[in-house]
Amino acid sequence: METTQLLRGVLDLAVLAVVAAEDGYGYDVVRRLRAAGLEDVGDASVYGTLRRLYGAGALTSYVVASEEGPHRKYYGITTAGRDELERQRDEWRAFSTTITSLIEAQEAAA
Amino acid sequence: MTHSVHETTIPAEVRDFVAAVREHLADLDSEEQQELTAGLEADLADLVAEHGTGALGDPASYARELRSAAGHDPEMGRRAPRRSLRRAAMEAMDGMHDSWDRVLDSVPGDLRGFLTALGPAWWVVRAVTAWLVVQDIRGPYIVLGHEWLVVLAVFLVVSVQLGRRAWGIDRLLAASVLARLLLVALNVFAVTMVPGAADRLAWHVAEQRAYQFAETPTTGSGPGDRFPDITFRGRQVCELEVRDARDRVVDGAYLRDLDAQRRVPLSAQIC
Repeated sequence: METTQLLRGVLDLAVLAVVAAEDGYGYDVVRRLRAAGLEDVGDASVYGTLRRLYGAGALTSYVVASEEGPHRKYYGITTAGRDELERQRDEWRAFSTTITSLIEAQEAAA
Repeated sequence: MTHSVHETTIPAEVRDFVAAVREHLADLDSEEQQELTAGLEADLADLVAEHGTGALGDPASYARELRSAAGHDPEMGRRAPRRSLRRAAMEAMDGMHDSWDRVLDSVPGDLRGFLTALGPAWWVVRAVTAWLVVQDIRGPYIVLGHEWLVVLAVFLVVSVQLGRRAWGIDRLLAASVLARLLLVALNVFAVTMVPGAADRLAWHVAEQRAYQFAETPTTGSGPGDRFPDITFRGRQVCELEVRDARDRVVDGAYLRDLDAQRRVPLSAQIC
């Protein structure tokens, strides 16, 4: 299974986790996701996800003026976003535990 | 946070790429297009600075990925978007805002940055002006009672939060033409009210001083004299005497301030 397919299901969780750690602008979030090991994440996917999470009220945004270049649009997490992050984190833990148990049981039986 | 190396200008390839991406978002409403592409040029400038223009790829594929991740149909709809009155008004206001920014940016010395830095001061001036306008409606004098100080504090908090686009005001302004028009109208009204408010405040200060002065006994030389001080050429004078040509103290004489039409005290209690 390609990593990109797996990513589609958990990109919201990954983006929320990164922004919860520290506010960031679009490409900064992309870089942090890649530095964390998600090298295949597409920047357009991240920008679209940021927009959707913002529209859903999970993120807030603000513009930071730059003396050296164009203004940056930063995203930060809202209280609703933290609740959503917590909910998705629990779901992911339960899901990954189930899959890990499944594949390890199959491996032991083989 | 990872800090980027900013480009002083956006490369032409990036501008062209973002313009091409926008063409594939044309069926979305202008607000959504703006949200999806705000900051995109700056972000892609970083991408190009790190990986070269080859990292930009195909704008159509990029737009599909962007649309899909944002929850839209990956393919652009065939129908041209209908421009509602609200959308047209929003676009017109965005256009005016952009034009204003361009005018400021055309002035050397980062005028826009300077005015942005003055923003918090304006929020405070706006609140105090609103408070003085309400005071003016209430009556002829400025009242500094506790309840009016609470009103001032409320005005300050509201004005600052409005300036910071807190309390969801940023979303309200992004979604509502009426809210944007109202904010512009309130700011314009506040600007026009500032001279009157400043004048009113100056009068209040002058009246207070005059009132304090009027309270001062004018008999001059008694121990009950509460006049704070008498100065001559910047030096405090504690006691004055009126003497005749033979250097004798003149009994019953007094000094009179001709400008203020009142007697001047002959000793200062502060000494």
